[in-house]
Amino acid sequence: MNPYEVLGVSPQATPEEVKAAYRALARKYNPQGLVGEALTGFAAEKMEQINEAYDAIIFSASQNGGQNWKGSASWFERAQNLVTAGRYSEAEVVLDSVDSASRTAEWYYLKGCVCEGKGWYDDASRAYQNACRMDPSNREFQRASQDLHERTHQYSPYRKGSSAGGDSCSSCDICTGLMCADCMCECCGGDLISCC
Amino acid sequence: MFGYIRLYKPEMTYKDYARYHSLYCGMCQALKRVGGPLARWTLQYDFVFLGALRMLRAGEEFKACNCRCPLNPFKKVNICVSQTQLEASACASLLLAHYQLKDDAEDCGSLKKRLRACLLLPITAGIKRRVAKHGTLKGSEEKIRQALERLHAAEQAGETSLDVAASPFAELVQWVASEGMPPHEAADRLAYHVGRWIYIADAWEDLQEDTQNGAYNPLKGDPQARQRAEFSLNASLMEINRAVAELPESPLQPIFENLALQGLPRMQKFLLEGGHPSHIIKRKDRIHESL
Repeated sequence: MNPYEVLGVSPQATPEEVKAAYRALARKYNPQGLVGEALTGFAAEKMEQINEAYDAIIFSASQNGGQNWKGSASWFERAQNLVTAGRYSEAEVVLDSVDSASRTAEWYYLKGCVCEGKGWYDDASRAYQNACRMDPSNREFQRASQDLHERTHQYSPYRKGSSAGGDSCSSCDICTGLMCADCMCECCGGDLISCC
Repeated sequence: MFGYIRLYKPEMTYKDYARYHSLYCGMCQALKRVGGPLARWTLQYDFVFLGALRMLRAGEEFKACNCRCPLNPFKKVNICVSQTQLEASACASLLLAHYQLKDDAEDCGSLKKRLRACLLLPITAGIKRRVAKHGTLKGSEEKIRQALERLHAAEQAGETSLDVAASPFAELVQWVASEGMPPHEAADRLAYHVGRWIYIADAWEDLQEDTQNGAYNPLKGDPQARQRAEFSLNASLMEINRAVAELPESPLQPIFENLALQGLPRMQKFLLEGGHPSHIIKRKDRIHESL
């Protein structure tokens, strides 16, 4: 299989073009968020092909020595590509190899994405908060943090209208309340709802 | 760390409840078969859940008989007779009970707990030998010991991340639910997050006691402990709900739906308001007032 065909780029493509094509395909075929076994199976297979093609192109480039951009690519780009492709454990290895002195707001943001992908939500929330603290002007970090809290809050038993909350007031409750109030008023000689 | 998994009965159809109850009775029998008659006293709903998850995953057909319970011979009850998966869960339950008691006997702050553990240990050691002879759930002893060691290591290191602290236990629950089964991503995620939810719920519930005793707790010393616990519990509820929606069709599926939509959220609310899990039964009327 020709890796260039899989990614849909020409063999003369620049590293940026290859990366852009890979990112677009990874986003398209990310098995997460798809429903149905047939669909996820197909997406996972496609994803595997895309990853293989990408690795093959990068490997041959670094072997030829002409465009050795695998080594020169920053940890940020590598980790970001892996996160986009949903390869969280590999992204984590890349992130953990960064020494603690050079951990920037972006590092914490990507760490948060990796933790979220793994289902480690407490760590994800703390990493996003760190990212926001280090770079308060970045909207993306703030949105990631807010999104995470909003999404989980949908499942909270304290959410309005939650069936497990037990303190919601339905239209039936309102009608029953009015009927009771009317009966009581009539007992005392008055009337609340004149037609009944 | 158990007793948090409860279904919410008022929202169940009678059929589903009868099925769940027969699983409970089946679990009691499985415990007896794996660990001898005394093993019945360790019966817990949490492991009924794990057994049910294994059954659903293995596609084992649910069969029940209407027979007499040896502990209450005057009453006929429905007992689940398809027990291969329930026995595997029973095995994990008994081993875990033994190692927890051993842990308590070695280094527990409370004298009462330590004394109780010392008295019960010879019995559970006997049960453990029987479990080993029975031979279901291979490698479980090793796995449980490893998980407890990792929990200890996190305690020693004073770990403050809820995820790092919870992962040994959550992974153990996932292992018990998946050992010897065909791979199923949603069922794995469900088991992992139920384990994570239990650990965090337990950490929150013990927070006050641990702060007084100076014992380890991942939430200790955090002024925002409640928000953090609540957020993490909600996150696990989210994963549990998503995973339950992806479970294969089965007569047992409504049980998991009830747990995800009603049982766990209600228990969570109850715990966050300062309740103790064992009181949820006693406070039946309060809990059911929304009916």
